[in-house]
Amino acid sequence: MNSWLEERLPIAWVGQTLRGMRLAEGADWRHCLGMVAAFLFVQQCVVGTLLALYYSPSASDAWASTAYIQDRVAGGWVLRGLHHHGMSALVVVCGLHLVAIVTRRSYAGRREIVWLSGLGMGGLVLAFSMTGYTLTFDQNAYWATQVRTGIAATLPGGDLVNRLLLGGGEFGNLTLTRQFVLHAFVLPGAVLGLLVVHVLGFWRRQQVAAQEFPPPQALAVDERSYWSGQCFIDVVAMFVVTVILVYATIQTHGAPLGAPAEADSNFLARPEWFFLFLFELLHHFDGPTRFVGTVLIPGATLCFLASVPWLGRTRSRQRFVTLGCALILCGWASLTVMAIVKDQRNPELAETIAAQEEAAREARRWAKMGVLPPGGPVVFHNDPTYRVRTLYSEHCAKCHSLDPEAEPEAPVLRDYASRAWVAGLIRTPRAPQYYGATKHSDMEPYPESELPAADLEALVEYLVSLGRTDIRPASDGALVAKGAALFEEHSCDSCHEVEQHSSGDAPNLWGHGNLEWVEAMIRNPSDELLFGESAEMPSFADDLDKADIRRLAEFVVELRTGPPAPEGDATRP
Amino acid sequence: MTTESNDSSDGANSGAGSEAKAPRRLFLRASGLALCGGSCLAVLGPGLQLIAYPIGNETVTGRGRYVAVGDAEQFNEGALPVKVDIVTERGDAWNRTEAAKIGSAWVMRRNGRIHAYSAACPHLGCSVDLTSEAEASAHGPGFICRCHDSFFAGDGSATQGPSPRGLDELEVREVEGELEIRFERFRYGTPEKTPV
Repeated sequence: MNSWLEERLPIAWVGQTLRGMRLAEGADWRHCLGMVAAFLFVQQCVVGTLLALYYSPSASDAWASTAYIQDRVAGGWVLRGLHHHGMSALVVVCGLHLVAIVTRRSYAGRREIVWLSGLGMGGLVLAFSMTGYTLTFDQNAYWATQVRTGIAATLPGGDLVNRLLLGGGEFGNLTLTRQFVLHAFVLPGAVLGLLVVHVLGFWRRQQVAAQEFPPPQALAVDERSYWSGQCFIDVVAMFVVTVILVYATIQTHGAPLGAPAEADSNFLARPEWFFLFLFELLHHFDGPTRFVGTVLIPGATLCFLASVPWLGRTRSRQRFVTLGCALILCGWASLTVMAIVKDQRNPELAETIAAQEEAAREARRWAKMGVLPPGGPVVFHNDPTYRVRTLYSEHCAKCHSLDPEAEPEAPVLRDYASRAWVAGLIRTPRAPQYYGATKHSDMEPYPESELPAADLEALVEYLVSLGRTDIRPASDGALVAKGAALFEEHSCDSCHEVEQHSSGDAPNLWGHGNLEWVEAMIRNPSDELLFGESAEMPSFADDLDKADIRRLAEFVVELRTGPPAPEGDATRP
Repeated sequence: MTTESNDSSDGANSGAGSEAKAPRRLFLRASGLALCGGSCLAVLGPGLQLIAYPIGNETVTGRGRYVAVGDAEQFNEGALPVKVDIVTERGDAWNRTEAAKIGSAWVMRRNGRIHAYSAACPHLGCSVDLTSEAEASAHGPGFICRCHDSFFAGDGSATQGPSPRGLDELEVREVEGELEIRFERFRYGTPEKTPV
């Protein structure tokens, strides 16, 4: 079998080359970072491919498909978590790798190409983060993109770049397809290409070093072999990183997902933690000095880093390089810390973020039922209270506004038919919050002088005893009886019938405020049991179906009783 | 032997002879493979679950429940079959469409009872039509599937052509005068009617 393959593929040569892998200085923990970075990159590619089995890069589907992966597909949240935390891990490992290379001066010795390709990969890793961040199309993605395109617009050629990256003038379908293509095809290919150059680069230097420093240095062949020591170190390091990622994934139950993107909303976006430094930097350079933060400082840093192999030709200049890099690292760290501390010291921010997270939880809860085709914010329509609130604002709010600042044009429905409401009505039926703004002015007010407080209390108690389902009258039967007597004494019964199904000149008070009473009112206020032909409120029997009328009636009753206890599960038939 | 000073590292070999290295090497290799396996498992475990999710779970929903299609009275005894669209809420992965057409059925009343047959041909799923006059005089009145020329009689039974069985009858019921059909899909190309 071996010889069959051997005649067709250079297996022996490959085997020999692999077995011959050597390190200039034997095995060491610090050497594992490059391999761990490569491992993480491969892992991100594999996990990303798996996620792409379910993710859909369109404006209507991106958020919903991500929520699907996170909350419904088996193993989805684990992979999302590994992908999200893997990104952070990759940034950390690349950063540590850079630090290790700088402190050991491994950029020297004709390894310019190795250094530059490494730097290029570092930049691509950041590009991975930026493209991936947009793909969820949640509020964070949308508003972070707004910030980034805003910054880019201030740079020369920025508008053009924005148009290319967004696929148009705004974040839409084409943005997602482009970001997805970059993230899943272009960037991985570019990293792979640079990785090959990187590996070839330092392999060549190993070759040259082996030639230039014959046997004496290369004596302990076994000790220098990759397989005798470094390989195990690398495997252990990869495993440790995996354990950390799995732990982080379990702790955060996957990756964060905000509420769906909404163009007209107020949202406080925050970039990934490793970009906080830029966010903080730009706070200090706003307005005319903006270009210092957007161009000057990043540009100078990049130029410095790119020229390191040329700067670090001599020992003394290498110290300068190390100092420069240390400065950059400290700058990055302090800006990051400043940003974090500033946010922690801001209590309003904490509130806003808590509200945003609550909206995210709500959205994900409703998404489990399935999101309607327009996608994104439409998920909130799954909330049954959404429908009734829309109905109310369409049909009722014009007269029965719920806004406490608004001028009432009809009885205010907040707390409708509660004891307090009824008491207030008896006292001042012509007040604007009762019937003052309507043409129903027949009922006389009953002030303190005519109806002392104790009497009013009894009267209210009697009214509440008339078949009310949600309010229990006082167990004190005497109070109710007193109220009944007062009802006759003040001739309330001359207009208001209290026997079920009897009509009079004013609404029948049996079960007033009950669900059925309110339903009947919405259906037809001109009913003879209610306001009769003189009713000012229109009837809705023809405009609304039975279910909607019931929903609205429940809504009105809940204005008094409060919402029902929350259900345990989000899934509804 | 060389006294190459390596920095402390668990994996580095001391400069001992190869015989003494053998059990250590075995240990390193075995544990290395185990750790590799562990690292892969972290991704492969949930990965395989994710890949296989559609096997155990219905990702496209909507079939299998009774759907109202109209007044039962509109279907007259002995009249020509009527093609009725089955419109109901349909779930597709993360999507939910409130009024999606999930299929159609041929509905007729025979001997007082209402029968509904799936309009999906049991051969390969094309849509089944009523025979035209010419087709009826040549092959008998009933249904025809024009994809591969399968013919069915008025009661849905297969008369001619590649269809392995007659039209699939669907369960019906009447609720408050409204006809409800339970739309299901059945395996194509088999003589037995098996729901999928």
